Amino acid sequence: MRSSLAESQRTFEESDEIDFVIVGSGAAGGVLAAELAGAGFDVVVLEQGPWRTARDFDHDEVGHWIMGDLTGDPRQDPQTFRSDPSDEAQIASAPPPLIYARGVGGSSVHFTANYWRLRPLDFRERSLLGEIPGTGFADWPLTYEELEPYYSKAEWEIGVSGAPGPFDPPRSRPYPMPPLPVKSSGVLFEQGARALGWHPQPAPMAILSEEYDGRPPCMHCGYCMGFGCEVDAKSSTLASMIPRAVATGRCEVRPDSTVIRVEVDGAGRATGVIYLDADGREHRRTARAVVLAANGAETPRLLLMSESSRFPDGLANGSGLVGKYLMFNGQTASHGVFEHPLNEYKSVQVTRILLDFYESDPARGFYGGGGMDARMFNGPLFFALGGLPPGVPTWGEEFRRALPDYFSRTMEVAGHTTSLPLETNRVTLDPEITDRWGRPAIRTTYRDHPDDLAMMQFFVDRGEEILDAAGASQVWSDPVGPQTIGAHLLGTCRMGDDPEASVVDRHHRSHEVRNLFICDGSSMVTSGRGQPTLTIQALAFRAAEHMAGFASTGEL
Amino acid sequence: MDRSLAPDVSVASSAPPPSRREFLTRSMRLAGGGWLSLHLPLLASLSACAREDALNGEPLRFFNADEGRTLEALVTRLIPSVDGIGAREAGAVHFIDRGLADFFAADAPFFRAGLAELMEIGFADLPEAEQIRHLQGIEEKPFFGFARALTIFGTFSDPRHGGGRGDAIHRIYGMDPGPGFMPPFGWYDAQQIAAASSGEVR
Repeated sequence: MRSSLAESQRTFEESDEIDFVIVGSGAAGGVLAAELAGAGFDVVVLEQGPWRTARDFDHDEVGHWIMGDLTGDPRQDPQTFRSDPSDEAQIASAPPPLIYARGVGGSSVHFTANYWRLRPLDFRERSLLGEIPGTGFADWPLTYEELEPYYSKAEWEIGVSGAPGPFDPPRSRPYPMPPLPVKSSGVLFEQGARALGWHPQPAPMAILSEEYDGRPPCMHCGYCMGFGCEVDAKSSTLASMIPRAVATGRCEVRPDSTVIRVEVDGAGRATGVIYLDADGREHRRTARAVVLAANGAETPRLLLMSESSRFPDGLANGSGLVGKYLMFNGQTASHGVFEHPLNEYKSVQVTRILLDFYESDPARGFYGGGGMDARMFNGPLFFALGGLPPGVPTWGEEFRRALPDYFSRTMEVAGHTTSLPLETNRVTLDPEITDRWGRPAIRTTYRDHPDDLAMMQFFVDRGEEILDAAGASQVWSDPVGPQTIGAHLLGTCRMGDDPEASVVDRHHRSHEVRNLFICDGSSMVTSGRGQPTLTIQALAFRAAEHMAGFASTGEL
Repeated sequence: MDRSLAPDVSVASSAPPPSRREFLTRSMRLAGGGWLSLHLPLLASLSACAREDALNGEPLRFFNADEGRTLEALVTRLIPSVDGIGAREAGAVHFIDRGLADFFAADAPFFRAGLAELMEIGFADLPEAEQIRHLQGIEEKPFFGFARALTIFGTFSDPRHGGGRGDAIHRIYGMDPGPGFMPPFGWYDAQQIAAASSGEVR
């Protein structure tokens, strides 16, 4: 189905002069488009995936998780993965190692919608805790206080449900709407956590609990994580920011447009991009400035593909850090079975969280921190694949009878933890494998730091304690081990003041190509505690203000 | 989305170069199910074409009728019918038949070879207890893991892929009909709501 927005939007001819071309329309790109067009600039957004509408989304787990309905057909868009730089990377299957959605709205369309702020300490943890040898652990070039107004702006512009919690950092505005109704998993999580003396709180979610900005509240269908919202209650940029960008009359969103190169002139300034349309025809889109918001995997791929004699190691890569310091966040899962039905298949994935173990504690003997939440394990398909407790048969009549019995009575406590930035964890171009357009496949090298694994085990233990304290009759956890899949693609073009140690400056401006901006998960210097989307969007609101400033004063 | 879930099931890639054309081993990290390795070959894809053969009157694209019958027996043992709904009624055979002719084409020769071993022992015509005993003997084999995964996909997919028929997802799990719901969702939040409202009355 074609978006009616697509029919009504302003379009630009290739010969028209425009101010900004933005690569990517997701969490960051959607915000940048609306803010820059809203500030009076002419903007073209190039998005490699299609422009879907809410009516295009469904609940098909096979289509979404196996066949790549939103993340891309793995046969046509292969990725390769290895745990160690000395290994040959292998072609990975579905779901891919780096999970991100293709399409207008990007991964904000299929994310779970957990919407946490970072805390002041996240921005200066290197100063607070000291060096961690062998890692790129560093302070951010900005503080929480600098970003706070943009956190509030994001919460109000995007549309977020939530309520204050005991560990919240200072905020200049309250949540725009109350939290979503608590689920049985949230009730049990609260009971268990309080019995242990901890402090659970309502989950901040980028899902509407009441009508907001012309969009309806959540209908509690249960398909948020990995799926697009059928009623636009999830505050993706597809639902929230893109319509606003188009409504300015100064923004054109071009779906099915795959950028293959950022072009640079003899003076080392970006002149625009080369992209392929749906039929593979090549086009040039020139602009006064180029903005990359393609995510922490696609952005470094594009920079590395844009190498030239002037930039032999890839564009904007004088530091050698493009693609490096990839951070997934640690993810843990503990499961519990209870006496009565929880029916976790209903409503949003998460309704309660716990942030008692956010800070790193030297007494533990390793770096790290994180947060926890109560959630459903997964949908019916994944429950059948691996949701039953250990010891229950995995096929046959007992299995068939166990499915309905356990499905209604099982919940999960998830942990979300820090990842240290390691040079060896990185995105590079696969030397052999290519995608449908002939682009080198994204090759990921990733192995969690020992402290990250220790932190994950710590959260597995806390998760089991909560489930026990809540009265679960059976508790078990997924084993902790090196992760091979990540949906948080962070750190691969980090911000910083030092051109030797960062890819972009504090204004998301490339140190080397001054009219090239990079703003997405790749900008993050540290991983935070597991829910990066709000921070990515706050950075985008802030970056747009700076870009608009530079454009207005002739500093592009 | 914020967690790595997920089984890794090998699928075809676009013409991998010879150096990569080897057995692809990835693990299935699943709670409760332990670690299940799937060793699946990446081989040349097969063309999809409708065949004369049919199962229950419905044409098969990839399998012949004998293969179809054996596969039906296999999926029936993996997710048997209870209260009139299981993998067979959900159309898992047709999901797998279509899938191996299309999305899972690279793994089709591997699957077909595994099925051939079942046909050699006349699996479809064995008594149920013997079928179960035989499957218990091959539970650790990659073919079994792949067959189990495909059977689950075929039972819980959207009907547009050929499986998931007869409202299988809702009937197997006893889920309330959707698509939308209102609180209370489960017993524990209902108790909390009841306690809060009785508190208000007092």
